[in-house]
Amino acid sequence: MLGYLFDGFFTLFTTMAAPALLGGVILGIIIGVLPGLTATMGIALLIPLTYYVSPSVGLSLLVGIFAGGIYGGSVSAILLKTPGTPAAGATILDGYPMAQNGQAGKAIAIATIASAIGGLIGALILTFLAPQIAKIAVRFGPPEYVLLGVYGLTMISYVAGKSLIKGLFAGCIGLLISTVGIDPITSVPRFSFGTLNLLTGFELLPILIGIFAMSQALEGVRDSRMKAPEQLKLTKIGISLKEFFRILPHIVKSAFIGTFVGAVPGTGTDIAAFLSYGEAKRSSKHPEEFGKGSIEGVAAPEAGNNACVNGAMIPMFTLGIPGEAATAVILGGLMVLGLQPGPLLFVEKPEVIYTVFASTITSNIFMIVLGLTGARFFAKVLSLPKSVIVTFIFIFAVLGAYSMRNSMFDVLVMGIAGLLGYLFSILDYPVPPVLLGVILGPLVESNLGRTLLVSDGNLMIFFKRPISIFFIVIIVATIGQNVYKHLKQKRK
Amino acid sequence: MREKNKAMLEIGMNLLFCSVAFGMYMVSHNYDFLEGTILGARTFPLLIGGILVVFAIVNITCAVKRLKLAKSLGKVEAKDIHEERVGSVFNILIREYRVLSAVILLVLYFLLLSFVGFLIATVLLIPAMLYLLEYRKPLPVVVITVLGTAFLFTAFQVLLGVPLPDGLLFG
Repeated sequence: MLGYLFDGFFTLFTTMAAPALLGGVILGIIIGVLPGLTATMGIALLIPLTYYVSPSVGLSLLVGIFAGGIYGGSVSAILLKTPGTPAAGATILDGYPMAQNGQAGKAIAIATIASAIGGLIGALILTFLAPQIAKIAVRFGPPEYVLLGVYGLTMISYVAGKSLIKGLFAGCIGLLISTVGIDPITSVPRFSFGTLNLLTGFELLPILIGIFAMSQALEGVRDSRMKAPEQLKLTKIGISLKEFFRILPHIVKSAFIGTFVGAVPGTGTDIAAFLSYGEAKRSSKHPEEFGKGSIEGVAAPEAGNNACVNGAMIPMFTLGIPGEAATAVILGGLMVLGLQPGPLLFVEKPEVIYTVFASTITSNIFMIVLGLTGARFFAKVLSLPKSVIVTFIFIFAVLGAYSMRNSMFDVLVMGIAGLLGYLFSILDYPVPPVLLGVILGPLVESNLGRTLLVSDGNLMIFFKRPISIFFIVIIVATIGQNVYKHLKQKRK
Repeated sequence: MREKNKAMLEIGMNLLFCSVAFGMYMVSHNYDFLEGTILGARTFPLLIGGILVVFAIVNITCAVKRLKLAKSLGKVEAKDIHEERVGSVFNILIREYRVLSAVILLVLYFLLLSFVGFLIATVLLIPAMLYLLEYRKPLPVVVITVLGTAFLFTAFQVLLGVPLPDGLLFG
């Protein structure tokens, strides 16, 4: 495995992957800094660019955007009291009071160092743990893939937000979209109405750009009159060695919490950040400082959310199951690049996967250098007019959808998906389940067909294989837990 | 958005997807099952469509309940809510008008891309969108339009080799 990892680093630094990663981190930080723009949207918008480069280069770009985007949110959280991304919500609690006390530079330095160390620990865990999980997962047959897909669909209950029914409804829409095109078992063209555009089904990319980028641009238009909050002044960036050693144990602990939280599908960077913050406050020698500008209160959530980025990639790469929106979009990106996410990726394309692992490790080094030297530039990004940004997101979304097949039909699909995404946002319907349905629908349908053909329609095949039984247990447990949680919430 | 409008929109959206599922059900009658099995091109769409309709009915029921509640509140506290609505309705109208205008601009951009190509369509869209978003300083708008279009053209057509739409007029 170490040999593959060295090869990964070699590929990273001898191809365009390293510049792409650096560019991705810079773009990610800029996207993360701007309130209202999320890392998920950034990834969705830039996937079309990866189509024209090798998978290693393209994925390095996406990994860079994801890591940079989560870190970038801390800058606006500290200077504006507005988290650039939901992941930076916990950073406000102590970051903004520090900035109010004239320590904005110190807060940004702590956020940068904690993000980089947390991310690095998370990346190392991903690199060494993921191949072990993939070794087990590589034994999967069609029945296991059906249940894996169903387990993936149960993630809808986690990303559904307030209403489970709305989430399941959104998931069904995604599954229905996935049925358009040639049937995987009988090879009959389905719902294509004789048009060539629908014969191969809907392309994933326009849907992805529409529901994640175009809908957010429409939200930007809606909220464009909102007054921007006042930005606090950025002071000298840096911390003392004593302060570094004070925050280091919290960073390490939060990195493990973040990676674990990320690896559990259905959680997210915001949950990792708040859990890390809570644990830091509980174990701190100075809990009274929390909420008033504690350096530990900035370090812990930042280490937690950046470690979570890497943790979230564990189920995505090993099982092909996205745990939250950003990894769902990266998963879509993998498919756009012609890679089949899941355990076979480790067998068929180890050079790609280990270059990505090398990228996740290196992205943290780029992040610390860029964060400490370029913080003033990134703070200036906050003064960019929102109207200009929103305008260019529109055009990027249109060109991105068009660029894959040079098809105006794809632009139309993107526009409709964008309107659907916007409608969902104003009606409080979750959008990620739609993508989960589109991605996992073909996996479940084709493998279910194969399984039932092999077993002559006997469903008992699912109960005769140990891994299948394991999946059935966790599916039942996941559904049971979520139904119980939603019923409990309703009673309250 | 007002609760009443929101509930009506939600009902409309759920009904729309119910009709899509029903349409798929009708069309799927053309696809046969594999002999002696329940497998076929229609199995999965029928299953998912059926489940979607059930969830849609639950959503519609909840929305109808909210609609009734919003109406009854409207009668009881008509005066207070009226005062509150003067400001918010005005804001909502402005907001919704802007989103609708942006959608219309996008449809026009789509049509212009098809007819006159990327360069002219983008040069027209950028200032129009900036005007809509109340960024109206003439010189910056001209600079942003020219530089932005040039950047996008260079990035996509020159660097990535994506053939951008020429339009029917020049294609």
